[in-house]
Amino acid sequence: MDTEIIYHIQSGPVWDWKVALDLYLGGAGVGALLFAVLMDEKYQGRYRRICHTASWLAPLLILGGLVMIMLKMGHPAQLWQTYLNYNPTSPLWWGGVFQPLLLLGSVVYALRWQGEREQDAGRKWLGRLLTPIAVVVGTYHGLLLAANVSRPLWNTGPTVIAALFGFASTGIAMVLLVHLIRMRVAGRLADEAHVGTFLDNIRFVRNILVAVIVLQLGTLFFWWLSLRYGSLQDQQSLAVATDLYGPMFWWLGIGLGLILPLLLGAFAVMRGEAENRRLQISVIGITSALILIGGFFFRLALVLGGQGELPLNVFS
Amino acid sequence: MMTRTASPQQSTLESAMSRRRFLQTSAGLSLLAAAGGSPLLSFFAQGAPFQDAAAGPLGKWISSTCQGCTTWCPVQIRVVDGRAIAVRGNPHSKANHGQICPRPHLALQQLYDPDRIKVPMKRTNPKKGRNEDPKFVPITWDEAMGLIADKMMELRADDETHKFVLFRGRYSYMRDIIYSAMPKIFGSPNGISHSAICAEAEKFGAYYTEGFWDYRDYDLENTHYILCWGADPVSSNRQVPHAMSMWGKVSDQATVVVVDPRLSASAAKADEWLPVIPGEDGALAVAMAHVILTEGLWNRDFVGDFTDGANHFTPGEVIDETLFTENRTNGLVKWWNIELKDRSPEWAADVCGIPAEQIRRVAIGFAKAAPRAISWLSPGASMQARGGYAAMATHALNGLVGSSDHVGGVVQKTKVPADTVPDYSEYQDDISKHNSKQPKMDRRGSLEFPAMNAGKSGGGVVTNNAADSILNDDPYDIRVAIVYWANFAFSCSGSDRWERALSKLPFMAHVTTHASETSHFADIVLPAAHHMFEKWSFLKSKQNLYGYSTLTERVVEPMWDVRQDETEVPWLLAEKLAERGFDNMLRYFKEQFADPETGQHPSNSAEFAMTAVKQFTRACWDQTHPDHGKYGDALNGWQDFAKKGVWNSHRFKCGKVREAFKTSTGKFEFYSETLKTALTAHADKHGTTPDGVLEATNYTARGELAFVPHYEPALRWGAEAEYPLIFFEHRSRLNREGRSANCPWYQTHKNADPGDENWADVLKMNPVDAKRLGLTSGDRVKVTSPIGSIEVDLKLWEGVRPGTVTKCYGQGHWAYGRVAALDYQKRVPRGGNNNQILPAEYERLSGSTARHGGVVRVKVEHA
Amino acid sequence: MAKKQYSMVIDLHACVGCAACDIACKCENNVPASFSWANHIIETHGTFPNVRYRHIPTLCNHCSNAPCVANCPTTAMHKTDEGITMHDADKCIGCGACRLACPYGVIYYNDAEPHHEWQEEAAAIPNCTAAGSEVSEKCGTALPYYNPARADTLPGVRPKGVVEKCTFCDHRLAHGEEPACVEACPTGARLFGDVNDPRSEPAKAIAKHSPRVLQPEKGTRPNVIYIRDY
Repeated sequence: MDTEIIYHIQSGPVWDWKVALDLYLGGAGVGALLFAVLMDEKYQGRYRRICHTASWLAPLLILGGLVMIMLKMGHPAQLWQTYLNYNPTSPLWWGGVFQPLLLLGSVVYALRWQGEREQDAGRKWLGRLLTPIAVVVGTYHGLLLAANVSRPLWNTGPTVIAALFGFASTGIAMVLLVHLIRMRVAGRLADEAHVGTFLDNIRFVRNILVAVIVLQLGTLFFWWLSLRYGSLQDQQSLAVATDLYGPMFWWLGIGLGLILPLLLGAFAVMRGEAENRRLQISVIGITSALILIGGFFFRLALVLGGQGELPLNVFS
Repeated sequence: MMTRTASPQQSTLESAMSRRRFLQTSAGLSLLAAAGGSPLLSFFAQGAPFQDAAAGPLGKWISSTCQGCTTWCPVQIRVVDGRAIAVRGNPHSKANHGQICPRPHLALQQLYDPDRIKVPMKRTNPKKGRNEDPKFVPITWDEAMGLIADKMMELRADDETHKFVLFRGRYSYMRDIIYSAMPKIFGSPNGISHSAICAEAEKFGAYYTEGFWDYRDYDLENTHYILCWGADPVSSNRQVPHAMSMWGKVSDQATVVVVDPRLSASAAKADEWLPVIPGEDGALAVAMAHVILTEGLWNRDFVGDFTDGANHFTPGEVIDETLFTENRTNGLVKWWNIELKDRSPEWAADVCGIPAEQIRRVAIGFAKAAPRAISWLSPGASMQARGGYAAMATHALNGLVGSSDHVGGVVQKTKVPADTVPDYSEYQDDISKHNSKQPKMDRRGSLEFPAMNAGKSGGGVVTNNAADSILNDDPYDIRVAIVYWANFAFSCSGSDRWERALSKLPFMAHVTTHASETSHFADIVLPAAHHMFEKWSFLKSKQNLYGYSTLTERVVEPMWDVRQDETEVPWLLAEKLAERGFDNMLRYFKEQFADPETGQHPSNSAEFAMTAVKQFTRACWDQTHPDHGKYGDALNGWQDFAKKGVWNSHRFKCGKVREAFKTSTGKFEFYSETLKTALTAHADKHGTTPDGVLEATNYTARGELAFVPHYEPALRWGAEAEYPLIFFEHRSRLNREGRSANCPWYQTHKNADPGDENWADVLKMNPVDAKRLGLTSGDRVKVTSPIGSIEVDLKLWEGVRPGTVTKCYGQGHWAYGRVAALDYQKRVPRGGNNNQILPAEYERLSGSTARHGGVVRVKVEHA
Repeated sequence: MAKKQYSMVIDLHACVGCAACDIACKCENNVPASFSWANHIIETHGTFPNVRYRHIPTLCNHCSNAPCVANCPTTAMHKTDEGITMHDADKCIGCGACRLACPYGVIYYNDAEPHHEWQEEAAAIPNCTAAGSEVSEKCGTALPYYNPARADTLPGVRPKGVVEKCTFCDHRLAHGEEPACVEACPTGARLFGDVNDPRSEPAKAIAKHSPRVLQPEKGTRPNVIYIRDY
């Protein structure tokens, strides 16, 4: 036996699946909002229906995230204290201020997508106004973890960048999947012309998605490298997290959520998806679902894995 | 003063304070007030004079004494609104520097333990046994004492009063009322103390070398070397707070060496750890003596020298005694010739498992530091089946290097004046007088149980043998017993014998705070006042070269219907005996006890308790007492004593005792004429020789060896083939004599004992052995000895010698409370009681229970 | 004159690892049994018989650069003018950010009603032995040895849903008393005072010995400082 260290502190993770779900939903909400804003900027409101879906998903998801974090709080009744006090070093303070603000803004924004108007200058301006707030909220979801000096797994730059890519991928996937469902419910999937236009013109979206996934993979690889070959504590934190949540992270988060969607996309291209709309629709649906499932487990593994008990250094 | 960052919710500190305090304490106050004439409030109105210096704006500090171990530290308790809320060392105490160890803090959880007995209980299931539910029902004190008195009167009617026994556990110096006067006036010789299950064998070592039948004191402040024999001064046994507070300084100025098969708390901080094979301490000690002599490092001033100035101690060679002139010692050359000449470190290394060079290094270091050196003997190295001579050998090292009664060495004690029970012979009738002279029930003084307290055959107690006496009706059948503050069904090795013996006892009453293992076999259970918080008594002890007399006080009014064990219980019993026609005891209490201040005789049990403690401690505080101020503090009246809580003696002065040791020769005896006289007297009593006595008491020595400190091989139960591991137990720094396991704080801090785990009772095993046995940390294991088995969790630990396993004493309660027991209702223990696997073995010369020295072998397997 | 900064120096050489500090702290601050504002790290190193054992008392480090304070969204966790990292339960939302931020594991979260054992009504032996609720009712307090002085600056017992931790016994300092762990330490291993005052015990000890802190690489600048070795 080399060294045995006993230090009993309160056991169990501080943050559990509820916080993972907050990161997930809040991130996807930010992604959905930015999707609508981007589509509006690029296509000038031509894809009103999908933007409409996205614009309503945003407040719903952001609200869902807020509810989750409230459920996690021991004393949510005192939440108003956040607004009486100012603590810019606390990501949660920023989140507490800006996430509700974004929620309000996104509701107003969604309301502007109601009706049949394609062009709406007010909506566009509101979108531009909300964009930096959305980026702050998205970044906050990364900083929330990264700000913890005592959690080497989180305390990295890539954690923040991965959060940004994460909200982009899950936001887009969420919009696509929900919109597909919406089309099916509305019976529009049978309408060849409609589907054709939809597919032709979301190629841009798909390109973004592919780029995001590739960048996300690169970020995570860099993150892994920096931990694996980082300080002793970095290595230990990676080992502890891998030991506990490695399979969830690598198989579900990375494999299912990032690599498999890429492969499926490539497969679809090779099988001549342009000629087979049925295949195209299926691939969009399946990849979106995979990205969403993987996206959740990625965050869950990250949240829980980052809280594993590390070997203690005592006057080393 | 305190400032805080401003925030809108807070006004000034003061108003925030008063608001909150009001909110949180008003409920308590109103509840008490509603009770109407609450004794709690009225007591504190009267009790005010006893309060010591104000404890700041909140509450008062009231003095008392901790009896969590046998240090008996003066403490103070912070009392707020009639509640005890904190404990500290008594700042008036010179002995413990006003410091305390962790134990007194735990006592708060004993006082307020939800599992305390509220009212007397009566057994309604006549069948007794561990698996029988006693079906206790509440009764009044009046009924309870009446039932006991009825049983005792039957004994008087049958002229069998000697078949009454009073078992004494944790006591105060009020003890002689219940332990001596009560049985003797009633007519029984049987006051049976717990003393021999804990420590008597170590007194054997000091007595048969320097004529001192007591615990030693140690001049830590001036020492340069401490050699601990199983002693763990910063954790347990005696003088703990004194040792703790001095240990930093001690480690700075002295070399500390700890001999212990386990990495104890003291070993963990020592310069050297000597993990001796359990029970082989004697080999190590005689080898060190051998080194000290062959290296010429004995103290010439104390011991003397060869007439020619040369060192003739050549290994293996007999020396002519006339060559050496001794000064303050007796029989050095005899010791060498009889025992030491062949006891080389190389010989000892094989026997005791410590490398020869380490033995040599420590022996030389110890001798060179001397006479400012301490060879610190403890129960661990003496409460062994053949530990009497190991005790002598380890203590004899202090003689060799002249550290006995020397600055920085090992010293005796100062006088602490106190009075005891007034003469009661006039209150003994014919039955009492006759039956009190019957042989004591524990068979002390028999051939195989010499129990030679201070050289007198049968002078000591053989506590653990009382179970066999009951089981075998030897010397006679015991019919009625009262047990107070003792839990022999848990605390005595071979505890299964006690379970059977207590089941067999026709009638037993137990005075206790908790429904313990022993209560489980009782017919009547009487709720005892807690000694530290609810009882008036006093104690005598010593630390830091100061003797002291310290009060236990009623610092809070008891919550439950409790009585003080040593004073109120005998009084209440005396009242009931008087009602039944035997009033001698009550008359004695009423006539012979009187308040020294008012001259008033007691009229009820509470007055009796108060009167007795004032009467016994008069020398400390009463200017009219001839001893007042003579030996230490001159306190100014009872109020002053009660307020300060402690009387300190003058500091012990070294150098007087060594001028005339109280041995047969007046010298420090390496050849013990004192032991020779005692053994011979005991042999004569039984028509045999000292060799016959040694044979009957399991010792291997014969002839002259019997009179010198010498090596005796460890005695172990169980064959190595079947039981491959030596089991030994150790103490906890959190044990309040086995009574604290029901305190949550005990469980949540248990890993403060090196190697132990919180909320567990782990068997500690070296990884080498575990690997061989295919076991690992966290395994549930069954530990089986030839006499029983327990199931506990395993912990692999490098701090235990391979080939041995160890476990702390104090847990494994199947009664006592719902924390101590894993499932109280089903009698499932938390951990395992060592006494279920330790056999009832003895160091018979002193009557001690041999619980140490690896007296039993065990096998350990998956449970 | 430099700003006041309360500090504690722990002399590991004097410490004997008895845990009296841990227990006295629970007692003083009405801390639930399962929490340890005052705590310890135990380290066993080596192979028999060359075994090294260390007992290192721990508590809130009252960091000068406290990550718990930095991360608290409501400023419930804050620094006082005397350098104490203090918690205001009235502002706490129980989010756990402070617990995650702290590298030392010294912040505890009340995920259930504390001291519930004093509300239990069952007795081990009905009508004969007591029950938790009976004891606390007779005392009129949440727990029998409840210390009302703790309520000067914190809720006497912290409610469910908020965190709690060592406050350097700020309520005792206000009365000129030292922290409970300092008073309870029988070895004098804990030295407490204003480290910015060169005459203070901790300042003198730091000047004399080479001071160490736990996890210095975290940049928290702890004010619990260790000297010498166990």
